[in-house]
Amino acid sequence: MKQILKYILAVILTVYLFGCIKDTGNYEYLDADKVAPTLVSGINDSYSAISMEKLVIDPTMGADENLYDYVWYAYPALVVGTACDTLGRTKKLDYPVTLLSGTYTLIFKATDKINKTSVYKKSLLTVSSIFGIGYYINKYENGRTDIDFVDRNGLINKNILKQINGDDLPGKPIRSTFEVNRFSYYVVNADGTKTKMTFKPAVLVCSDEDMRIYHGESMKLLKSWDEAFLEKPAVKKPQGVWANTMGYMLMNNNSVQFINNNGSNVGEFGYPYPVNNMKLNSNATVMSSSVMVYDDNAGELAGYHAQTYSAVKNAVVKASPLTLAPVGEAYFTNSDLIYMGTQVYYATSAGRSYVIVKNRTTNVFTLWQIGVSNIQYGYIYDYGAGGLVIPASAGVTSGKVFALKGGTSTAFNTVIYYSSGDNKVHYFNPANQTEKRDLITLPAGEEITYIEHSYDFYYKINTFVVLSNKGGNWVLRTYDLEGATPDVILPEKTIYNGTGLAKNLIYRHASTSLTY
Amino acid sequence: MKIKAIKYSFLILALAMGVSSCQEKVVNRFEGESSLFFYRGSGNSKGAPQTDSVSYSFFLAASSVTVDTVWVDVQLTGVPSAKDRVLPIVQSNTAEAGSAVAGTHYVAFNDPAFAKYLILPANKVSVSVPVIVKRTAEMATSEFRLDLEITTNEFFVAGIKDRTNYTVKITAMAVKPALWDVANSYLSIFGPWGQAKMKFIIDYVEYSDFDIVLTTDYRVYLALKAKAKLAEYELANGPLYEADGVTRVIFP
Repeated sequence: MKQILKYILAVILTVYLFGCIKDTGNYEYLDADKVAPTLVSGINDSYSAISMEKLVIDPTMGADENLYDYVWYAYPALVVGTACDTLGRTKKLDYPVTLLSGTYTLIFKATDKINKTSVYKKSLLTVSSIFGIGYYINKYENGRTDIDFVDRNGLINKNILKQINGDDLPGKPIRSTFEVNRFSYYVVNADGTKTKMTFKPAVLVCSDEDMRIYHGESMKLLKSWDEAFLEKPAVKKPQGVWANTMGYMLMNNNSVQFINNNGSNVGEFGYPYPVNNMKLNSNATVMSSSVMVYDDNAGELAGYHAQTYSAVKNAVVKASPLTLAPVGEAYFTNSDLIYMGTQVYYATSAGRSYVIVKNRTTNVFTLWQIGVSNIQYGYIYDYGAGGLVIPASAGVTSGKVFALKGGTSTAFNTVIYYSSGDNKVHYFNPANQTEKRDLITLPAGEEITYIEHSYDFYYKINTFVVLSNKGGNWVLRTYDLEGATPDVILPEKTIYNGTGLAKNLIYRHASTSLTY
Repeated sequence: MKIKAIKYSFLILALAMGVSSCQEKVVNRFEGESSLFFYRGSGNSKGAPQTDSVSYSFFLAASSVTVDTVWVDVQLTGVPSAKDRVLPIVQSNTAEAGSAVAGTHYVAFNDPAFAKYLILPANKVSVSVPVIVKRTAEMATSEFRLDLEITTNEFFVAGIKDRTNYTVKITAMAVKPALWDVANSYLSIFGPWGQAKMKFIIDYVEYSDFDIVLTTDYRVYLALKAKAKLAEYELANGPLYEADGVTRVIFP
């Protein structure tokens, strides 16, 4: 036994002694630039791809390209821990895009076959369908409402609702709205079972006689009016559709109904929210999970939150910055609505909403800035501007169509574009109470029906669009802006023509989350 | 000597392991006697929750309905039999006040016509037993309790102790649904339960299936509709109260 212990002790001592020997190694440290692959050029920081079309990227390597193994892969940019899709294993990526629509991180990796060192290049890849980028023009032709779609290549796809679904909507167009991933619905399988499709994009189109819901990728009909409600309304008198981050809202027969996206839903509008003797104006502005409407009876604002089962009527001057508690009292009532709109900021966020009203007693015009998202707290907050008086002589007080310059969210740091429905566009600057007249003058006889500043701070969208009608046909013009100013560069950048009378449009770019 | 002993010990151990590994494994078969117990879980064979009791009310049925069935799942412990076996289920509370009366409030288990239902069929390990409840006039204001107990007979010994009793409560009054107080369920939509409130929901909100778990959008739908219908009702009739005349029916 002692003999065995001696052997064990000897082995342990030997191991300890060898552990003290200095390891001089046999390494040779070289500069990474000399041993690792180098990428010279050919890969951009971002790409925009269309489903089922080819995405081709051919980078240039710093040495013989045969020395390396290659791989291209992508993963959702905003989802942590999801699996990667391998798109290719050659230096040149030649990939028929089968990724679902969305924003991805695209990775190129080249690995030295001998020393196994690699070079990486990360890009942003945005995938969308052909309907993912372009103008959806709501128009009226032959007694029907349809959409002419101007795609990213400038091609005008006429009457896409009828072309794709065999049918369009009866009546005159009111508006349409898009939301990227909040719509759920069931599909019936061949064996009669049902599969729930969740978090899908949807385009809702509303005319004065109908409302239908389409898939945002294919524009195929998902739900007709009869299928779009948990309980079909007794009266069918649609006034408009809107999307926000917590639901879709339909205004019908002087009441609002939501598809509530907080949790499970089946893509059907719920029970009408209480109206409380209001007469709802067909204008509304949205932000986050709230909607601001206008009561034409009382002549004041009202609000709805998707999960608050009553109308919010408590208008206050402002919110306490510390407690969000209301401060001050109701700021206006007994007024006629002239304009109400939301200032677009970027894909998922809007700035403030602007409201111009005319007091029925004093005939004084005032401009208000409202934080629509605060409606969820039970109050309609003015941002402390207190109602900026606008001179009655200002052209904006007689405007028919309006647009806010997108971008900023600081007080009154914007302009309100407007047209009286003729062939001219002007703007009013509330910060200095000045107007710029005749910013744009279209050919005589054209009647402007819609204007918009298409803007996205992050994705560098910055285009002014003017939609007009003449002789039963529509004309769409786009303009670049002069830097950060509200002025546009003349003449127009592009011009598109189509048949039918346009009402308005929605512009959708690759990263649009919802339209306002 | 010691080293030798260690060596032989290792050898014997290895041999023993080798021999035992070659032995055919004998699987023990269950040869015990059979017993029965009431299923307990969120969904029995009819899809209804079955815990320790169930409340049945003719309140939800049309007034013309005088007979209905409550299904109770019974399961087997033991091996299936090649022949049918009679289930030893009896009422255990016949002498108690408020107990259901066989033949009056439900079809008696010893009724000749019922005998065919008190059978565990051959080669089956479970069976759904119908409790056929009968409406009586006194149920409009009273509830009757039927305590079921699985006893023993020539086929079955006593079963799992806490699973051999099950209660069926029979009434025509409104009964608080089992799912009412579950999180994100009827309590969140309609508030605290009450008989008058329940009747209002059935008659005016036109909702009566309280055994299902609702999706968010449907909960919002019901909440809005209940408030709207109650407002309409109160406009025409004034406030609605529970039977105590004090508790006003309201929805949150």
